[in-house]
Amino acid sequence: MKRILIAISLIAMVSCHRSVPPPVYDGVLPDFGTGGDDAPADEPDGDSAGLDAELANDALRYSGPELALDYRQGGVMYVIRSQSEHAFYDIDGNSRAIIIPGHVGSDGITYEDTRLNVNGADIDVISARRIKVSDGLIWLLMTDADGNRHIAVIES
Amino acid sequence: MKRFSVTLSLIFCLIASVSAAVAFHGRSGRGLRDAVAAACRVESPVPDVQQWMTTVLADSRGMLYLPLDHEYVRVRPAWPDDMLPLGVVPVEWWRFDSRYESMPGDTLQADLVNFIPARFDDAKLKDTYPPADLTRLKWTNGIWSTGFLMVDGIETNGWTPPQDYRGDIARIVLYMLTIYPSGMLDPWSLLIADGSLWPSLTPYGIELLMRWSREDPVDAREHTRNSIIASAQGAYGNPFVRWPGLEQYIWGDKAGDIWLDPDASGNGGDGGDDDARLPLRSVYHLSDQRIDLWSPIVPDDAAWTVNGTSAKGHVSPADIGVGRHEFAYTHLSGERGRVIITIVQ
Repeated sequence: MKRILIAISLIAMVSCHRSVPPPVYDGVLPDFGTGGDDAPADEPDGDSAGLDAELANDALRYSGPELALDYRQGGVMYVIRSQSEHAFYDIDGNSRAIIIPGHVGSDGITYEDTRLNVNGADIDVISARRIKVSDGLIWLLMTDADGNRHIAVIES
Repeated sequence: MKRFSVTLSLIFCLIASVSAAVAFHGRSGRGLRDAVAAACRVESPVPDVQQWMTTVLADSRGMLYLPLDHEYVRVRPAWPDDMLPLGVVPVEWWRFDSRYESMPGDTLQADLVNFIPARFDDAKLKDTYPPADLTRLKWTNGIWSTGFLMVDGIETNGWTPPQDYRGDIARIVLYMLTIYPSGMLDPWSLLIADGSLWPSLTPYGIELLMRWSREDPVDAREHTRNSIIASAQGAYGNPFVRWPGLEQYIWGDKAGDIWLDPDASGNGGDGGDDDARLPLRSVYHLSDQRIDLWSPIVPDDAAWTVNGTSAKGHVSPADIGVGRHEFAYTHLSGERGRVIITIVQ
């Protein structure tokens, strides 16, 4: 963020034909999302540290770096299709997350060929594993190619 | 992954087939804007905007060009050396951050809605300034002007289109900030855009663009331009042209009201037709007439329950009362789903 502010200052200084600055810029830059130099990736796949709050929350939900949809908050439709596809939809808008966990690996914890689509974009899931099972629910921790964590709590 | 995408496509095709209304029918507020954005993305960007303008926009359709000078621009039979396709909303607004990397499927630089033919000199004068109401002119050709305006006691730069094109320009800007709402870092954008996913516009931008759009409503010329663009790059072209007044439901004097697709069967578009189904939404008022047991993401022939009790067609908010209620459905295919709906006073 600091580098961006410096860059803005430099550009403002050297842009001689733009002698009048815009009035509404208040130094607060829009969030440019994850993946940039200033946005370090999450902890590596397989590390469940920092997940206590997630594990303690038994609401059906999906949460990722760009989207969170929680059934209990209302207005989020949870859909199961053909027992293998789990989807969360914001019924007021267009946000959605669709999870196909794939099949359980030989260790009984990891899921193979897990597919995740968030707002229409396929996410490159490099690992998926079950981190909790309780009362008919599965906590699924997915890690994408950028190291971002995606949590889904779905019906088993 | 490909199979997954194909599956999703089939699902969305199925969804589309069960509803005659456009996907954002029955939405309001941010949900409406988000659904408009999702439904109106460019489907098949043209590979070369300049080439497309030269070969597709025949001079017999000179009406498609915005007059950047005292007469309509002609680009046929060859593209003039002193011209370029100019983004009404500068793509540089999104390219300000050097970290920006074009993503697969990025259509920002090829979105025909945004481009008009312009002379280099005109483009240079316009620069990356925002559209604005000017209070002091720096340059004008009697049609287009650049200059200065005062905002919060500070003088800044802007440009103004001719009176009878202000609505056209406003709707192009609204389209761009709807389809590509975030990532704007160029400070010149921040007069009208706030760079957020919602509302995406500053109070100044909302007032200006809503007023321009009201004062210069969509006309036949703009419809024609939009139809040609829509046929070239898919989707609907600019939804604010395709459905005049739509922008007022998102940011304008009808903000918060439910937008109804006037093209939907059985819908007069005035919200008063009892036969028009509205998709489920998260919150209803006790005074609302009914809750339709329908959503574009649910099969049309699904069986519904409300709080565990079978229901069909629609239910009355007054009958089930204030509070949170579980609406669930099942379908013969094995699909099932549920959602919590809140009813307030």
